[in-house]
Amino acid sequence: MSRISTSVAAAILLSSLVAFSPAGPALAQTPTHDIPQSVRLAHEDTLRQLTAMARRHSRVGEIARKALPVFKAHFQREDEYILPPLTLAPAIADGHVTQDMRWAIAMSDRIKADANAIFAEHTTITEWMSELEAAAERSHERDALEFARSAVADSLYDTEVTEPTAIVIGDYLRAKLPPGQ
Amino acid sequence: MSRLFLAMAVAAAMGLFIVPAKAQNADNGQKVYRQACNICHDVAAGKNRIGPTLFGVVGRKSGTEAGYTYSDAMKGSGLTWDAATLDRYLTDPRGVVPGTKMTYAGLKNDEQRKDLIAYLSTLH
Repeated sequence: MSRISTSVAAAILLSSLVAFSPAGPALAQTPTHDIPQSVRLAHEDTLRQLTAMARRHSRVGEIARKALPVFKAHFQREDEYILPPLTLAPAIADGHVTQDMRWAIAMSDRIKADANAIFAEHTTITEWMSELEAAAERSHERDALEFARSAVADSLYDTEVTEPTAIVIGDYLRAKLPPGQ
Repeated sequence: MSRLFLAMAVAAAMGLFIVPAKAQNADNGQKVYRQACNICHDVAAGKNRIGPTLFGVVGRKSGTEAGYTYSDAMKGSGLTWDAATLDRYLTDPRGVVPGTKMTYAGLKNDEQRKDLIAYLSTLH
């Protein structure tokens, strides 16, 4: 291997290590596990609506443009390690627990470790949606107003249901799967 | 200018400065509510949304509004929402009630907070 190709390989390896750092923020990377299809569709719909709003030449458009990257970053974090454990729920509910589910334990632990950062993202989303709602009310953009309210409700759903459920799945797997197997 | 006229002018001026100023605080507070709280909280009696209704919040014990599902943290906080407690909570919700599910970083502007609490006090 030439020096150039060695350094390129080292750079790739290093960037991979940084991207997979468990303590770090959600970084741009391809998720390694699927997420529930229903949530995938919901996320796509949210981004489609927000992107359409961001094209408007109004205060609503201005706020949507600022909110869009916040949503994208949050969805990326969710796709990376909050939502994948939920794909195991149907099998676990059917009584199936297998060794190849073990990956979800680390994700669940990461949700616990990042709880404050995740909550802070929900807080930022709520603040942007609060601004969006107020602007939409003033300009009578009914769709934006409904979007804002729905997005905040989704955020609460994540706090009340999605994240605790993913943690419970990980804890359940840890209890059911003997260590070291 | 006669003394009587002067006294009346002073009284009128005091009226102008005292009565509307009190009302204005609550009016400003309503604007703050619309900007910062309305996305999650209604002000109609019994109308819970993402957050519990703010109708009657001043004087209410924390975590007790019927028909709203509170976090364990809020249920166990043992607070009563008087002006001083609301002031602390609205400044830093998670600092006062760790584990609250209210996704709000806090209203850091003292004047806005005071006005908001003045507005909340009118909701009875």
